[in-house]
Amino acid sequence: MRLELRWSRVEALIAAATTRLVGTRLEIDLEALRALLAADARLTRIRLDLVHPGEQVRIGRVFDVIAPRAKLDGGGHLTVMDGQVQVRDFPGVLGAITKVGHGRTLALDGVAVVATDQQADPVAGSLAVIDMAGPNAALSAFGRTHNVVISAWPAPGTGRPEYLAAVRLAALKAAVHLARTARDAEPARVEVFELPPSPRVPAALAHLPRVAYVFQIHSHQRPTGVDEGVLYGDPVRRMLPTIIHPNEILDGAVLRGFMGRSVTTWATQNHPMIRALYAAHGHSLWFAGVVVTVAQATEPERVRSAFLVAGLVAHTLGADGVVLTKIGGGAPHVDMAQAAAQCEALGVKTTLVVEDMSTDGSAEGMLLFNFPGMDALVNVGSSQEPLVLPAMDRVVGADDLAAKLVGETRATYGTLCGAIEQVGATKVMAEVR
Amino acid sequence: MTPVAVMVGANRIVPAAGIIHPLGNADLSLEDEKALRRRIVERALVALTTEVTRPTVFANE
Amino acid sequence: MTKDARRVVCYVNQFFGTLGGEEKAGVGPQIVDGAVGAARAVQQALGDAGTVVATVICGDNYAAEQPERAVAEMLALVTAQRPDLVIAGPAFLAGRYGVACGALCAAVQATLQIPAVTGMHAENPGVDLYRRQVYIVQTGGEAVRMLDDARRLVTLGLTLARGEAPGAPAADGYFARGVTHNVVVATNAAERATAMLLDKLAGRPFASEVPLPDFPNVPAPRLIKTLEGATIALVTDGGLVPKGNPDGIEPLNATRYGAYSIEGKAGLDAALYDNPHRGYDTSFVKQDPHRLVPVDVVRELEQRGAIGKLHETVYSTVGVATTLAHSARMGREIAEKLRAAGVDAVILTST
Repeated sequence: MRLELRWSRVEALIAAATTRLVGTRLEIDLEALRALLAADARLTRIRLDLVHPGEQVRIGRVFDVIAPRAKLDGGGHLTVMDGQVQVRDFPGVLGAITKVGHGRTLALDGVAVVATDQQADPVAGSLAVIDMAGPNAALSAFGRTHNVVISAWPAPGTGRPEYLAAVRLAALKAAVHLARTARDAEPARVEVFELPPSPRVPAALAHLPRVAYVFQIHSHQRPTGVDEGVLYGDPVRRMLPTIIHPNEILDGAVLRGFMGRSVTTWATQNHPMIRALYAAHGHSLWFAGVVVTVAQATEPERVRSAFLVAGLVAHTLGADGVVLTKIGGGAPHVDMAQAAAQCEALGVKTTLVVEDMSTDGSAEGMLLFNFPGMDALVNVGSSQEPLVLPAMDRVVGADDLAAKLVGETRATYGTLCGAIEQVGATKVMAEVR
Repeated sequence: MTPVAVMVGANRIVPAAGIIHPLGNADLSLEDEKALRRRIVERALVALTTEVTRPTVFANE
Repeated sequence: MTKDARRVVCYVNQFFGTLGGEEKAGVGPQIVDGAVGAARAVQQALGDAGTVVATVICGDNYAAEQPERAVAEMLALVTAQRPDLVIAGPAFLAGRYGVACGALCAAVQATLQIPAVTGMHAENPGVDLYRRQVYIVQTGGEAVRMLDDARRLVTLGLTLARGEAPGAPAADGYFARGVTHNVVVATNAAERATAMLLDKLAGRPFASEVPLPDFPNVPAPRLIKTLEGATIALVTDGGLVPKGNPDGIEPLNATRYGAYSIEGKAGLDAALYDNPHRGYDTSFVKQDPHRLVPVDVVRELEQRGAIGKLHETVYSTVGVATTLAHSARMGREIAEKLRAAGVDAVILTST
């Protein structure tokens, strides 16, 4: 499995007559893109806004962020039928179900597709924002990308799960549409991700510690909807732990579901743990592989999952050490800790990435578990910690909340999309003092 | 969430039927659901009358 | 005094104030001009950066036996000196002294809103009592390295007096206060986790970013009565509330709980209840609240005589992101009410 990410850099984003990449300037025919996305009967009225770093703009009602990617080849058999290139991107959700993780994929640096949720009740849920200027811009990757903001409203009769599925799909379509502009460009840089099957270690590297990664891709605190694909489009409802190649995660096989507590699809696509392990692979460690799992809703399922994870990590991947991340809220902490405890029991050393769960800034409230051997913990910061959102000039993506969101608002770190990422993508950390 | 209960020091712990319906199960008929609820509550009564010295889980046999 | 020099007031006990030993432990608060006894080490450490304008001395027994009065009297003496900074101790292993140092520093911060620092040994009871509120520098058990300890107290004190943020606890030598605060560090969490795992695998030391919580044991009560004679109450943290949530129980970070009557009711009518809990999908328990609070089944047990009585009040709160402090408080309050009402046992449903 050899994946080549071909990066083109975008430093300017403008509306224009045609959609194309000219040097580092991405030009978008907004009307054509709008028409492409409007073809979904579940949505009505689609608006696209272009927002740039440094503008005194706050994006509101943020639902998810997608990184532009488009497969050039290698996604199963990419065929041309009737003059149309068959889409193999985001298999099972946008494209046909096909294997990804090898071949060449186009990627754009400096641009993000931001999907907003125009249906959510602002009182019941805390909706995320992105600040394009001010002190919060640096806390999140999306304060520094040129953002294509999609606002779409539900067609009459469209229920919540259908609406969210449609919004996410629109963002995925836009992401592919934009990345395709780079198909004839000379990439600014090319990244190669190549990892042989786990057992095939060259003798010269056999001394390296074998490190695996356990990636919790969904939490069943809220069961997934039928149209809420997470792994190759599967809603992972009764998913037992399994092994996939890290390249598949980097190439669109795993998406975030519809509940977005401190996680974006963008961070999954640009997976920092996979990148960190690849960077060290062959030097200070042998990247033994990735186990994907879900956080379960009942204790027996949690126990079963923990045993299976440990078995895959210790007996199948033969790992000496394992890093684990979680998704969702407090209960998934326990899933992750139980899996780690079982790994330690089999002699595999663990390091866990946790979110500071304290709601009053007290160190004793940071963790919800305490198992023997859980002595190596990294934290991604506290979502609950207060954060001031300074006044801005305008609000995009949240017309109904604009009057309130444009002024100075007291919020939390969790409100700022991309500041806290449970897969470990950011440099925010809760320091114990 | 049994491990959390053990950790914080709750002494008598009865595992229930899941976070979203601890004393029920939407997949069962109303009658079966009530029977499930009775069984869990009865296990709770057993726990209440059992002497314990440390966090103890009264699991399903 | 140079214009940036700080006015410092020191607090020492009878021994370090050169009044005497245990025989003088009963003396009340008094003030002396300038630096006296151990406060001279503080003055030496301050150099030109500040002047110890006065030293407050108080006997350890006086401070221990009437803590509020002692702190109030010392505070008055301190206030009159208009200091920029208060330095108490160091108290080393002297427990009464350490507790008094912590109390005075806390009072100075709260009332005068100026920085106050103290120092003591890790096992001094003053550490556990005051570490969250007060900066406590870690010292040894005895005054052997007094000047050294004084220097660290002064360095930290001057940092605070300048309005600067202190460094991490390990760097500045003070006890971690047990508060967390988001900061931006040099590398992302994934990179730090990889590095930490490699250290752990190689047997190298590593610094975990989260301290492991320590929950005290709760002795398990015994049910004295038989079930047939016992009153059982139902409690939940799953968020059951009457429609309209009349007590305004917060959907997250709850600080309130409600008491809801089930007197005379054979069960819970779903139409009369709601659930604001944000930590799980509440649709199933809204459909049938018995899936959360088993009034129907327990009422049957009562009618059969299997239990003596089902208590007529259900207590409920929302248990998601609730702080430990509020959880413990609510639990205590509910327990007291139940005990006052003659309840013998509780079945608590937790989601």
